[in-house]
Amino acid sequence: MNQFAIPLNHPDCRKANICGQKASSLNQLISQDINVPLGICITTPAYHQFINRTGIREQVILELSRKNFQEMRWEELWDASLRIRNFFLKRSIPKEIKNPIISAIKKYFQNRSVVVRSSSNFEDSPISSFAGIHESFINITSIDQILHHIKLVWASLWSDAALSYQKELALNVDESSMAVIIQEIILGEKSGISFSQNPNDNNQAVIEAVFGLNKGLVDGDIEPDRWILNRQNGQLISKFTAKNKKYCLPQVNGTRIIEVPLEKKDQSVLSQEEVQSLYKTILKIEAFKKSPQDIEWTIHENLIYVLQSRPITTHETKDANTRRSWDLNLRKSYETLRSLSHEIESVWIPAMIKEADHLFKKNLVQMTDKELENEVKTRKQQFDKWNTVYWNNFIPFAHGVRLFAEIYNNRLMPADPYEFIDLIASDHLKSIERNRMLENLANQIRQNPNLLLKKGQNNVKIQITQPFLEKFQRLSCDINQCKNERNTLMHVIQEMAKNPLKMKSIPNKKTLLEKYLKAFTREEQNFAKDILELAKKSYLFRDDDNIYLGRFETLYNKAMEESEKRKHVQCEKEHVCKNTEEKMFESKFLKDNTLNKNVVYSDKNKSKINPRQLRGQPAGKGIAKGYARVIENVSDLTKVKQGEILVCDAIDPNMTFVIPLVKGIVERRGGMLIHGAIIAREYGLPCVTGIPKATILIHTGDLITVDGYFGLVIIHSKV
Amino acid sequence: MEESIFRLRNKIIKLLKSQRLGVLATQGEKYPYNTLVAYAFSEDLENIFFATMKHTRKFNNIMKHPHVSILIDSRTNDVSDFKNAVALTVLGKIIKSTSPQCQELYLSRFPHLMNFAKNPNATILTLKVSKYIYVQRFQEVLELIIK
Repeated sequence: MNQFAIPLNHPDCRKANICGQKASSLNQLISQDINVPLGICITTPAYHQFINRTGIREQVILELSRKNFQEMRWEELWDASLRIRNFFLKRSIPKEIKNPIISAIKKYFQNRSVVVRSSSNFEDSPISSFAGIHESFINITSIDQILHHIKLVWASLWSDAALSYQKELALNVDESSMAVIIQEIILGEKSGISFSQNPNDNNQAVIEAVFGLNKGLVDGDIEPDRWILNRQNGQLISKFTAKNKKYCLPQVNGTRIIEVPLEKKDQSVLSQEEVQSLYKTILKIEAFKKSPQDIEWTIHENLIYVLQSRPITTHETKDANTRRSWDLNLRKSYETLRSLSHEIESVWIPAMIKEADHLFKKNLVQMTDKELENEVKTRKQQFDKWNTVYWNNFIPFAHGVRLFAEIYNNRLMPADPYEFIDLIASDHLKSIERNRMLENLANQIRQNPNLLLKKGQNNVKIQITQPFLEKFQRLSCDINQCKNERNTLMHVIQEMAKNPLKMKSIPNKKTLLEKYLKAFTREEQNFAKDILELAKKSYLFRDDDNIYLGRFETLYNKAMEESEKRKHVQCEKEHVCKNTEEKMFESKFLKDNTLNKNVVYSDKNKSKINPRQLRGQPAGKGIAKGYARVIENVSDLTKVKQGEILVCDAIDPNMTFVIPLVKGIVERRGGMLIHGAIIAREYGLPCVTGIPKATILIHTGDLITVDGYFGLVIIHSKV
Repeated sequence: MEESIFRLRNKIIKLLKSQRLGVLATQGEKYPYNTLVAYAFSEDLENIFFATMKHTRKFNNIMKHPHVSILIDSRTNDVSDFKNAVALTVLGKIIKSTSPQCQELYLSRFPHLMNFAKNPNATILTLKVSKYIYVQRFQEVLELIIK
């Protein structure tokens, strides 16, 4: 034993400040002769020494100082967490810390596979449970891999989920720490989770079980068999048998899920005796823990091993309906994402296109008033329907990019934690495609400036808009229907014509791909390719899904516009015009509902605030100085001039056509995966996101500098 | 960043109250010249006061160039400063006379400086503030313009 590695059965392991809550709890189980897999705990002093010796402490402080946590969106938390994770991955563990850990690993596990689990000093405490906010890894082999995964568990102290609970956890650099449990892996034939008291009924106990390891159950990928028992005597109340049984198996440094062999499909996972043994075990644990417990276990060669026991708390369900719990739910597993991808591609998108096409063909002008009224209702329903699909399916699918980022960074440990984007960035983004067409038209004008002289003449307009319409009639804003769009486009094309567009040279994808695949073993090649494909689709949808949804917004607005027009004609006849109650949608992307324009920036004493430097997230490398163009509504897009810096609340994929004109981007909404950041990266533009009140504090005409390396906007002079 | 003028004023007042010393910068012949001064301030944030001997370099500099600045900050010389410390640069001009009420205000903050300030060779100076530059979270900078 040494100060950095303590066996789980050692009395010192009971101290949660040194070994964390989970290890302390396992130590208690061992002391009660409960069967727990052999293991050691890497203590919190090891974590603290590591962050002190490597400078990570300071880096985390700087990362956390960027912005008020309360002002951060979940995507921004994820970005901060990804950057912090990279600090941990890029630093080696100093010898003085590493050597004692290595000798303990050799002593206890020789060359056997292990699990590497988090044990922070606040998860699973008796008062609250924050299960799943830190990382655990199964089936890790070799000293190097174990050390690598220890660092990943340390880094997960700062996971996005932990950051989002920063206040509740009192997460801070000085006091928060992470111990790591290393245990021999028990390759159970069956595993599960049991509640000594059913959270929904105090008189019941619940046992859930699956074949193989219980990772698939914990992640929600495998449906378990379920037994509801009488808590008093263990008698069976009801049993549910899963129809689609699957099996979670270990594979090199991880797990995989396979179908259960046919003969086992209809077989109950547990025998009656096993259910009774588990019932006795969980009640025994509850008795000495003195509170109802949520217990993870596995059965190997007829022996029950307890992997974890924690108090059942109601904390997790407290904010079940809040945005935060919804955000946290987005962490989808590879399996779930794969089926989601299939569903989106083969069901949702084709259905959206078909329905919108059908609606676009309808002629509103020829409808009777009654028909029009129904049409407005139908279109509203359609939009609501697709909006729900968007939130329930499309947004969770975006997590594919996050999952890929973690895998990419784990394997390749790149200097830039966002290098992965260059590998998945697609040349087929709808908005980029559209911009290329505009650039072609601008090029025509550049070569033949006389075209501009004919501006306003029909033949020129047709020449400029027709190819666009043909290509993009399926997108949201059909130019022949949105009356201002035609002028906007003309303006953009003219501005583009002034100077040829400089596109960033995207790094050689072939080289990047080779580098990526090299990081995986031969057996893992298929997995590496699959997850890359999944991430590409996820990234592509991130931009395109909004465009598909935007079409339904446009369709509804068109019907409303026609209806309003008729009502107005009618009321003018009757001289009883009044405000209608129903409103058209305002673009959901332009509007920041939290924006309070009433905040006072000057007072009666004539003193006033001038923002000079504003901090946000670095979302596109580079520095640009220029005059600000603040976009407050769609009509401002027509005023954008070449070389200006775009300042907006949030870039809507439908407005990215002005991006080729600008020198830099400042956005209120934060994050590296938001559209603004994606487009900025594609065009190689300096971009800073996550500047609260950007459109209020910065005015059109202010001279500003965008520092996309540090995430800073400097306002040199105000208009 | 979300600041109303009210909130920013309160933050500035809180910092000014929490500290006693600031770094005064005056314009020397060739080099900028820094000295530590004990300051007091008016709650309307229009004036900052500090005492000096009249034979000092800073006093001579001020006589020639009355535009000065003072840096006041909350650093603790710990790495957490990068997250938590705030710094305030005050820009303004020294005016000729300091009212008896202001002298009192100064001495009520620093009663132990009574003998120093009452010395005939000493004087309490008034800095008429034109601008406060408030830096928080390492690089976030806001200016409060006074009148």
